[in-house]
Amino acid sequence: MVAAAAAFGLVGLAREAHAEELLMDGNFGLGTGLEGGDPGTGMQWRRARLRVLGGVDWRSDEDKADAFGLRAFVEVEKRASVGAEVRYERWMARDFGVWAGLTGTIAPETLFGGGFGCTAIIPFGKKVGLFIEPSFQAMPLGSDTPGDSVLIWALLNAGVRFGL
Amino acid sequence: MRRWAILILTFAMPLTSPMACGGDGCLRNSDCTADKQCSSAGQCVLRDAPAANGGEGGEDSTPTTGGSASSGSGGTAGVSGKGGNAGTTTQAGTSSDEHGGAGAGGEGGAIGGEGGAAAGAASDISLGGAL
Repeated sequence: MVAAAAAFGLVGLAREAHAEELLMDGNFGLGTGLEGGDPGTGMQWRRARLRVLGGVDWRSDEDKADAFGLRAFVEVEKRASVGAEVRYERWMARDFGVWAGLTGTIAPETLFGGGFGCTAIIPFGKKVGLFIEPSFQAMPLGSDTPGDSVLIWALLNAGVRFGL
Repeated sequence: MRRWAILILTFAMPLTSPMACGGDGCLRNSDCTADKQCSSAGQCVLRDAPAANGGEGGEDSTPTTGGSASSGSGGTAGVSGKGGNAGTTTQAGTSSDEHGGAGAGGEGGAIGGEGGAAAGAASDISLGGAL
């Protein structure tokens, strides 16, 4: 009797655990844009370093509107720098979402800040699409900025998005 | 094919553009080489550039450490009827004054226990630790 109850409970748990699944989407692309800062001579703008980025988005199949994303990127110009970004995404439609998150680089200098942006997807089939992602980020912390200046990124990322 | 060519041109052009990031100025320390950093003038300068006046002289390198004298510990009293354990030799306190002089010696060891007399001289001999 006890064994039957335990087995029934396990089956129930398994069904409950199976009920919610994490959907994963991979991203791979390139990005650049404008980079601004004030080293002490006034605000200056220039083209941001070209970056290669990749990452994953996770969302529940029960609540597809909310998602968490992780991105890693490498700035491939000048001294190559390595960074990452964690973000909360809110998908307003199947192919359009807005997000906000924290960004930082860890090498060769540190840089930390946050920003927001949006993602539009041009679908190519059921699982593959192109994404275009404008964003705005402010980076006030870290050893990469001279003095107390804030580095600002206005970026445009684009690439391939695919279901995993 | 033409689409790919346009795509490549779009992403490759910024690399060769005069608007390309950097140039002579800098916005970030990582714009400069590893031994340089971005100055408030927006130029890369050496990280440990020497001061214009040649810098300050260093401090004298002869530290003075005051010693602390420690007295010797007294011996423990012997149990009645047996020879008391004599006090062990006390170690002279090591001390030095500001000029590095010798420290004062520690005090002598304690006297043997009272029973030591009855137990005879077989007990340990107490040596005064005074130096």
